[in-house]
Amino acid sequence: MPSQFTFGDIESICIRLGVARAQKGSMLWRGVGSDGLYRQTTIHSHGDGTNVSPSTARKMAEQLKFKDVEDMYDFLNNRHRKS
Amino acid sequence: MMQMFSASIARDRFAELRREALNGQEILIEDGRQLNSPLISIIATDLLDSLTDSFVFAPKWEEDKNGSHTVSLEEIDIIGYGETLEEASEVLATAASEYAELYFSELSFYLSPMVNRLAHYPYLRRIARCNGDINKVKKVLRV
Repeated sequence: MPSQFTFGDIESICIRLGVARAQKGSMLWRGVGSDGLYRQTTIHSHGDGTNVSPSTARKMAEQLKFKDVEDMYDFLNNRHRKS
Repeated sequence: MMQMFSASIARDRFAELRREALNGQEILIEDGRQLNSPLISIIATDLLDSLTDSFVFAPKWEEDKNGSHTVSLEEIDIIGYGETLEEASEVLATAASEYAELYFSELSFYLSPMVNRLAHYPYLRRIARCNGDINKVKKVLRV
């Protein structure tokens, strides 16, 4: 079964990576992680529980410097991973 | 040969140098007090606009089975998405506009070796020149 993310999942991944909303009300999230890498992505959510479409999740995984969507899913479920 | 002036001479002759820049000349200014200091240029804004117009965006679209759309701009590492093409375009243009605003307000951060996003400069300058008009941004982004 393909990895499925909600916008809440993406926000929690971003926060763990040191990526936060750029400004109040902004849809651009950005930040430098403990690995020294700058990351940015767009979060335009219709609610934390709303699913992220597969193409969007794939692009977010690229922007957040994961190998692919499965790697991002593993990061979501493995609290010990730092990046 | 390009004309070069010290900052103090340029200040005294600024009206004349501005006219020359408007005629297409690029005027180089050096810090007369320091050897080998970095130069700055005075150049006509219209000319600079024309030069950066060659930095063209190539948005990449993807459609999912549920009919939602994702659009990305590899040139500046920005994505947009939505249930319709219009929504995805709007989100992309808004995010790109926010990025341009942040970039030029925190240039030293974005140009630092750690972040190293100098290549985004000409693209983001085109967006910044839209002054927050999202319809103009969409036109520049070709969405």
